[in-house]
Amino acid sequence: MISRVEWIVCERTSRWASALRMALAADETPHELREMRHFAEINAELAGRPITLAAFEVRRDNFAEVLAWLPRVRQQFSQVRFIGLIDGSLVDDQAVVGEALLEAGVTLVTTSPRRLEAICRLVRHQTSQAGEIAENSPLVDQLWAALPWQTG
Amino acid sequence: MGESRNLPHPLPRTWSRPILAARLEPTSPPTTSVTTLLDASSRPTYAVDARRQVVYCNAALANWLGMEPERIVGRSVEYHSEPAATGSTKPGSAAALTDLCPPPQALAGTFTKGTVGCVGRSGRLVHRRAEFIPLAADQSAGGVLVLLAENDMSPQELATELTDEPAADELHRVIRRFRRNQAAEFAIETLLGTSAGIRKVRAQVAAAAASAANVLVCGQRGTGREHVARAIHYQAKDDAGKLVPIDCEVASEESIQRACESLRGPIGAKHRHTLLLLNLERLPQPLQAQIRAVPSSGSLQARLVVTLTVDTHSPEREASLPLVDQQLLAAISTITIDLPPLAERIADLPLLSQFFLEAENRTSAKQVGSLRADVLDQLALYRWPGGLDELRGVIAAAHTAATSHEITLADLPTVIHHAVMAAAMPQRKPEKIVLDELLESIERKVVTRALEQSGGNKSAAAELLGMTRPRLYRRLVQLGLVTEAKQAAEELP
Repeated sequence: MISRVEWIVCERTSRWASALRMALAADETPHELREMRHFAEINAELAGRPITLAAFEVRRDNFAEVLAWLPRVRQQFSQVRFIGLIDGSLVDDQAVVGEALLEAGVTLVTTSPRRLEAICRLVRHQTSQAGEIAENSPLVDQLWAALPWQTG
Repeated sequence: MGESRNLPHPLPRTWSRPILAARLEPTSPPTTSVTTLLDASSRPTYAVDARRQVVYCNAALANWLGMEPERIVGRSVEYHSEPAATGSTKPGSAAALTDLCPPPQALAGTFTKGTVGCVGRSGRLVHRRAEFIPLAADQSAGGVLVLLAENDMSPQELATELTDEPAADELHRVIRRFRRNQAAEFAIETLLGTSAGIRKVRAQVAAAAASAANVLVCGQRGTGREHVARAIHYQAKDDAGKLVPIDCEVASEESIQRACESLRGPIGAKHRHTLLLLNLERLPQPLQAQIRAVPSSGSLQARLVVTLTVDTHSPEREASLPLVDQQLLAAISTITIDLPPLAERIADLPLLSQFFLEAENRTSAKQVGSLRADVLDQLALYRWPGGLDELRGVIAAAHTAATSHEITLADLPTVIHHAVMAAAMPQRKPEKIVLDELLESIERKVVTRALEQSGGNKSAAAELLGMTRPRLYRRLVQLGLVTEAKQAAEELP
């Protein structure tokens, strides 16, 4: 049974999202990558949809905001895994920023849209997990969930 | 941290570098005069050697920190560290030292001005202006003498100082503030409750934080395993070092190797790093073998704190343990903390519910004061398979639904009402289904959706369904979605 996986990328432009779409384009499982521009949108999206993966851009000008926001959102949505996308504005401090992000609770950090292998592995892992969860749900739920043209 | 410039520094000529450097070697004769001068100074003063260990402090510094000089000298300080300003760290504890580290540029030989903070005698975080005087031109050879101002900075002075700081120092300050907040967030006091189970957990966490032993934290889903593991790290009485978490479910050989590399340091360093392994049972066996080698790795200055998902009060616990390498289990379970499930600490439910309710108030314009007693009674009848996470979600939903200043039964999610009602009833036999009817209902739903998708156009709907238009008509009649008369009328040219 194929499960469609929805996930979030929050960034100022579409730089990371474009690279991720391209990196995952060959996958058989359909991914729905939703683009956000601010953390408040991530919170609203996580509250309203069964999303288990959220990536966000970390820049010098939003680093303090990230470190304040991340522990709170992790507590609120404990089933979600977060990925830090470290922007070029932090190029001189990647190591210390990466350590702080991991300590704050991200599962992965990456420093370039050219280094997405680990993220792609994580997305595929989440996809297979979603499939397993779906297979363990009641038969009738699986049937209804498999029907095409779902609304909402 | 502040401005940097090259020497000449503002010391009197008599305090030349060789003399000060000599103080760092206790056998040199000239130390007495320098020590006497510095000891008598009303400005808090200390010296840090190249390994970032405090090698000297005067009485004014000891007084400012509220600690005996003997407890200060010999301690190491790290630029990443942070003094805790919460109730979790008492003034005068060793953690008060953690902001004393000179900035990297001073250790590298450049005179620097900046600020130093500590948890003062009042228990509040206070700052003083500082001058960092390098005692050698490069980091490997010498140390740094630090002279603090006589008085604490006002909040306004501190704010002005911070607006002028270089970008790297701003980043450093952000991380320090984050770590301070984390220490407060994961204080032992946040392990709420008065039940015997949670009181035992608090005592174990305090003991684990005070020791350097590896710790295994076991519990069901939603018992707060990660929170407890982080509390152990952040409440360490010695200088807490780095916390490097690994999510075992998605860990790779490379990520474990990278984490271990980041924790290597000189043997004998006093700071205590933590390698936190989350949900060890999900780590593939080959990687468990890799982890097993970690504690015996000489230069790795870290202890392991590991969380394991088990049913703590069921025979199945033994069944879940084969997922973990037994040698690894023996190495990490020096201290084992079993977390009680929420259903077994119902006495804590009112306190926990109120805590989560107030957390919702903090993030919402709506303010709800309390939960009615009958609501707490209802919550106590539920088994809470999702533990604290589920309770948080239920309280959040009730907060959203609430229309008055308190949570009522009507505000609780229906799943709670249904589960409580179901628990009160005897178990029923599985419901039978009629397969033909179920399949027909699914077909009817799919055909209806296809018609909706195609805006009522039957040719388009037939194409979506991969059948011919006449066949779709026949199915529509069979499913009772159109009458035969209507079909005949629509089929006329």
